[in-house]
Amino acid sequence: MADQANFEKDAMQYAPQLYSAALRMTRNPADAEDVVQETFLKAYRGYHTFTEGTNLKAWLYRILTNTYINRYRKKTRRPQEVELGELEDLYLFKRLNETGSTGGATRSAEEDVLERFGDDDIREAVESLPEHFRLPVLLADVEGFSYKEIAEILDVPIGTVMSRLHRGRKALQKRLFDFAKEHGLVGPKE
Amino acid sequence: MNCDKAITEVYSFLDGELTAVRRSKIEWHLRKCPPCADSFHFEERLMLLVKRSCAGDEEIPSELFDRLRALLHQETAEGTAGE
Repeated sequence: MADQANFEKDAMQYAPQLYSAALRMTRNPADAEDVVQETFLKAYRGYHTFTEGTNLKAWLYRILTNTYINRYRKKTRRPQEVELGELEDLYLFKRLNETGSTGGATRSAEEDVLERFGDDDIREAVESLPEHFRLPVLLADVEGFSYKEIAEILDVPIGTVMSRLHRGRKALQKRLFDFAKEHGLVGPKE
Repeated sequence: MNCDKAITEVYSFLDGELTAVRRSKIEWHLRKCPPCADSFHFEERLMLLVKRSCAGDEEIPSELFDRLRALLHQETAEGTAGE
């Protein structure tokens, strides 16, 4: 059992990361601040239930995620579960390869296209994903949690984490490809 | 290990979620198959871009940080007062 008196010392170091994660979830600073504040309050009050020596970061992310979901799920429409259908593996790589917009079959041609995306473009694409895809992608790619940790944070089976994460990444690739077409980063093969 | 099998495991591989045996089978395939190696490298690169783009360059507002501390101190004081 963790001692509440140590909470500040133990947990405050994660505040910057939690704020950044909250921003990606809520997509706006005012809501992110509210979510982080509520998270810390809940975590402090429940700190006696945290088992010392286990993963504090994951425990805090679990509270953060639940706080976000409870606050905002009601407000948003039901996520479009089947919106994209099944996308093929290596979606973006294959599309870039087909369009041949990279000007040849050099080894890193597809990767060169990636460099044409700005950080903002990628961030917007991630933020545009429906929540059931966005959260696993953020927790894995940005926060570096394992599948098992993500399963605990989201309270779903590991198989569900894998399925949502893999589908979420492909959905992200589709958004990036659509963006690239719209902005002329790629073009049809001559 | 063929290409199709390797590709279905690209994310588990990059996420470090495979057993050592499985992992080395894929590594062996990638050494022999440049197209797969390219596509794995592409996926890895994209994951790193996502991480770089989304890992906050926005700092936590110092005002929020102070507010959190104040909140915890207030909670502590209330908890003590109630005992």
